[in-house]
Amino acid sequence: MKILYLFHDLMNLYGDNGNIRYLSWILQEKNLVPEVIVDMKSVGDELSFDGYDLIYCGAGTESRRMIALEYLRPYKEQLKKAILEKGTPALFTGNSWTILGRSIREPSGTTEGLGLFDYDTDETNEQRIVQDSLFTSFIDGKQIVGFVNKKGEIKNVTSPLFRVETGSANVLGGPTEGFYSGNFFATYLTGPLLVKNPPFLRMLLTRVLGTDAVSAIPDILDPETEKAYETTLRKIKSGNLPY
Amino acid sequence: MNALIDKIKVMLAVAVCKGATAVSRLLGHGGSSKPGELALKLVPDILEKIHLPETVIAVTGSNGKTSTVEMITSVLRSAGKKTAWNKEGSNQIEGVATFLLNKCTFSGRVKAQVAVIETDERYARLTFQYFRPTHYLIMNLYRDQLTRNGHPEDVYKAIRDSIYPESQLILNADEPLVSKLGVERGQKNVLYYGASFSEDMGSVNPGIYDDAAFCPVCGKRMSNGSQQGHPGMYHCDACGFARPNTQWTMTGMDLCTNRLSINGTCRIRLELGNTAQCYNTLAAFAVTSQVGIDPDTIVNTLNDFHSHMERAVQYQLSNNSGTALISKHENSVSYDQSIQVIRDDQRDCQVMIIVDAISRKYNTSDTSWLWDIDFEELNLPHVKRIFLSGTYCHDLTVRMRLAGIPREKIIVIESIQEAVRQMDLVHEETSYVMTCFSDIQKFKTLSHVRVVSGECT
Repeated sequence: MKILYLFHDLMNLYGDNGNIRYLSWILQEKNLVPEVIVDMKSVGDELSFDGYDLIYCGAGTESRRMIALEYLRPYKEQLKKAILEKGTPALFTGNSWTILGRSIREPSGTTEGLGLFDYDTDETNEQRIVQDSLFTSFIDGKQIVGFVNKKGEIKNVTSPLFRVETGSANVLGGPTEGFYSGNFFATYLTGPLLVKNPPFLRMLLTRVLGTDAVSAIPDILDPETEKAYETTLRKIKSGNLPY
Repeated sequence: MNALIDKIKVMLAVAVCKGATAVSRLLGHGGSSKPGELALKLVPDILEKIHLPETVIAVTGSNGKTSTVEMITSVLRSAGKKTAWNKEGSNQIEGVATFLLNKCTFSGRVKAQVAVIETDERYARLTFQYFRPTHYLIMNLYRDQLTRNGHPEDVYKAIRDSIYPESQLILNADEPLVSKLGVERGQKNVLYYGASFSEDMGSVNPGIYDDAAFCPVCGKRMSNGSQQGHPGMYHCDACGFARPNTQWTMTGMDLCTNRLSINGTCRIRLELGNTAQCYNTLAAFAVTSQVGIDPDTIVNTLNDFHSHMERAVQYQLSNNSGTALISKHENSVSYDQSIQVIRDDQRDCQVMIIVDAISRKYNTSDTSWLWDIDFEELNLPHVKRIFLSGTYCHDLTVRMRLAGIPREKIIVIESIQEAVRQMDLVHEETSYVMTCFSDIQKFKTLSHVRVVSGECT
């Protein structure tokens, strides 16, 4: 099992480090794979996207996201090949998925994205969106909890990942959040969403390990994360969210 | 005519503020921002119309504002300066208006030689539209309260917009995002404080993340990036941005004996041994020196300075005694500082971590900040057991397991009362409770907890 963790030190806003740490820990703890290799690659490292079972990138500040975008630009074709042609499972959280879209519009001007997908990011609205969110996955109907910390909106998303129950959508007041295409998953949720959402983790594992391997895993992979998930679900559903 | 109207407006605003404060006190409300809010409604530019003291010191940053303001104020008063400050801690424009107007004569003159203003990092730009501090201390910019702050670079922009040329900046040189503010004004009228790296500064907790790894000016990776407020030299080879030289330098820091030395000669004993306290003390030293207080007065006042803020609460249970270290949820640096205290206390201990209500102001269930705290540092032989309690005890459990804490040391009990009872079943030399000021009451008010000190706020 080989994971590529992109920009671990650049794109790691608020607890994003928890995702890959937890994923590799639980895979080994439960003996689901013989070994897990996490390649942490960042600015200054030579990049290759071949031979990975999962590619992950987390959230950053807007300016750091631009550093990541420019660093990836020369690798655009390789990344396209890995994600679009080979279908390597990939998860991009927070604003990292804006990098892979068509364009990013900021108050200072518009920057071309890597163009793997056709959505556009608009950050010209100065308003920052910070809120707890509850979504339902279009993939398996499971509920997803987490926190969104973002600037701007993502427009022209053809296949959103989640339906918004409460919280932040791709466009202000919209019905849907995130994006998926094949084995590529993107959401603006920041922080350790794989820790907080056992059902989403399981869905991702079916793409990484295969459906057969995952159906052999007990329903409750980790009782502690299940309990934490129930707590957060209960809290968000009890409402009184500040926005 | 206009002058007369202005006089009436000032008198009115001062009267309203004082009146509202008196009523609010009678009713037993703390309410340190309401009176100012009323005055600002009546006269929106009232802060521009009053006469401030010759010296106005403003203090901002993510962590340590209140403690540092307390220290600065205490030094100024020891030096015989009549000082006004927002003692009650309301640091947005309404709170600032409340304390300044309450200190005013009806003609609008603040009755003090120095005003010390703790200002919220996000709202300073509103307050300083109306008047300019003569000295502006900016301490740090950390990951903090993401429900309102977004991220440190956003807060940076808000602080930058609050700075005017007439204020002298006093900046923490060891924080790249803070010292960038000096670069932005071409190093004009800027002074710095920071730690010296030539001597052994004791072991430093490297932290989970490094927000200073990349140059805040050009975005390239820096060499020797500093670590979230912990000493470190930084230098960007690409654009030349580098840690500036310091006027006030921490030349020694001993976290085991809680001692700090400044500029080689001044030695200060601290109440609590962590790097944050050292930096706060250094900042207070810098500011008070700059406004002309002599070093002896500063050192004598800061020596054994006892904060009125609740930072550490001593408690007694039936079989155990210990210290509650008040940290801040959603602020990993503050937890790292508490962990440092436990790490450096070599006595066998039990630790309890309580995360029950994440925010006092916002309804959030977000626990992602737990992953930014260096709980790995608690994996120590002298830490015998770790009790995890409160609504989010299961989130804590997952985090502790990933931190490598042996399972047999982790005890998860959601009920705080029951967790405390269980902790008291076994005696250890000491114990620690780590939680936020928003959750500490739930511990302190338990019937079997006796608070020994640190009660005052």
